[in-house]
Amino acid sequence: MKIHEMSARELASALTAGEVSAVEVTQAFFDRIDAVDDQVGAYLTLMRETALQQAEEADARRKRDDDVPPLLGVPIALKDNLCTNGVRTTCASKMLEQFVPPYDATVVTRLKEAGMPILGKTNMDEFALGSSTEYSALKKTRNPWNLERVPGGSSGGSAAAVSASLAPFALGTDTGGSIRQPAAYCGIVGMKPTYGLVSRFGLVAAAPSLDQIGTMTKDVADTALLLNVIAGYDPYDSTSVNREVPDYFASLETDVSTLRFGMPAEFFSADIHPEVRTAVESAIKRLEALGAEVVEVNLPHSTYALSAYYVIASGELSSSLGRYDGVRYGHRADVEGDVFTMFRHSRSEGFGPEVKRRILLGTYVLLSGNYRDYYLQAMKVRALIAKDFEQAFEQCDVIVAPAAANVAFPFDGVVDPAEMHALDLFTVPVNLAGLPAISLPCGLNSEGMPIGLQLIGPAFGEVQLLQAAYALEQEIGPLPKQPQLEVKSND
Amino acid sequence: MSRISKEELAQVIYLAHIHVAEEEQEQLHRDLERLLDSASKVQEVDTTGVEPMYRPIPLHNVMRPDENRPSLAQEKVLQNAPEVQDGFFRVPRILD
Repeated sequence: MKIHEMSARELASALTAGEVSAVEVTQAFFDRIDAVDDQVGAYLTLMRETALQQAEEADARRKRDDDVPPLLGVPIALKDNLCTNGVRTTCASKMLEQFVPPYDATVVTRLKEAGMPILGKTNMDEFALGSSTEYSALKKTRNPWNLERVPGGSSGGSAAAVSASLAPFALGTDTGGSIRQPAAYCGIVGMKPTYGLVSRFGLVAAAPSLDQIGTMTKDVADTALLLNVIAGYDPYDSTSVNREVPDYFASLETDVSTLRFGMPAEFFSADIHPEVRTAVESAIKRLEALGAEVVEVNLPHSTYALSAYYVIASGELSSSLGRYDGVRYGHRADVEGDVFTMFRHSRSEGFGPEVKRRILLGTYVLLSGNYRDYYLQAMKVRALIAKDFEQAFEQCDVIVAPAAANVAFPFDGVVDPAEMHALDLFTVPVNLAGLPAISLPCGLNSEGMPIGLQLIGPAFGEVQLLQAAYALEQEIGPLPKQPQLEVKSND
Repeated sequence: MSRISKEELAQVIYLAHIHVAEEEQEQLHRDLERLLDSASKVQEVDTTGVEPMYRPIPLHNVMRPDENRPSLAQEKVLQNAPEVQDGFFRVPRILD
């Protein structure tokens, strides 16, 4: 097996056994990136020098110390909305194209402390708003399974990188499905942890009450290993929750027959593509065959989740993006006139069309005359959605649902902004309630595109969520094939 | 039915500090109408007696101890500024 095809866990074993060095592993990923990333377009910025330096340090640390972190020397990719000290962090926006953070996000600090070389920064929808990565102002990212299709979004670069073996795993962020949907579209595993489990310090804010950093990996074991690194309290994030973090990897194995799964009637009566429905239902039958109990549950307010989500997310966004004024950082327009003219033109030139639409929508719902009818009302609906989940989890341990209603679509396949928003039907309720959820591949459709299944757990129920996902993954087995990319020859 | 009047659109554009060219306003108006159609669905829900949920976890004011601690050097703070003068952020004229 080639180095770049190995999972993080396999790489960690090979490194521990001394079969390969961290420098060799890191270099193998850059070789792979050089060979195929011009077709995929996953990365916005590569960090060759610092990554190889980190790899050298990892090799030295392994020689020197007896007790080393489990993922020492295993490299990783980062979505480009996570601040990296001294390396530009663009959010795939013209606004931040030249922005070089003077500090690391807490998750980046944790990866560095764990001795994990950082390969580079991946493409995304501008400011994480979108479901296809087509709203990136800087680059086009293609789905490695079919280069004429989108990778999903907003963490499309991270999903494509892992799927095309351009990184063993990656971090993404999920505000309304931005990890789980691209993971489903690219045939990988994507997990959004419980709100508050992973520090958001150094994550460029989109909608702070919904945003969460999570993992994008080749399998569930890698998810658990990576979550072990990034989870935990951080005094720099006031929404970080101070509680003990279990070892997710050590607790993966379980007897799945002890778990009860809930199928939300409202999700399964939605407009799901027949092939996606068949794949998800057959996975559920496998769970039953293993002895797990499957019950129907209800999430009666979930039909209002999309509208509540877009009101809340846009309102928060309009406030979060208020800081971009061309004064302290970010794009400044070269215009004559007073400071307000400079603000208006800087923001107009720096933000793309979807960002502007969402800022304006957010500003509208926060107007004093609209606040009660839109924003406050949406937050009340949010409370009802969270309560629905609480009641559902009285009847089951884990909820099972599709991750997306269909597979990845062709470029320009969804041009209407409202239609693009509607793609997040099965993912946004989870963010509104702040719950953990994971999407994992459950088969290919007749066109050979991967289909994603989603498992949702109660707040801080990551252990049982990962146990369920691990058991289901073992049962489904690997996808019948992997994306085939043409490799450029060296001569 | 129009949810957002031309005047409201102008007010929102003004408050958001975004310059929108005259020729882009019509398309933008249509897009916002569509988005508001979907957003206004929340109004169909009876929320009598429901407390709004501002965030997923209950939080009170989170304070750190009032102690000195290291902060970024001035040059780091200014390194991304479009224009700097004498250790300050420089902006166009504010008052005439």
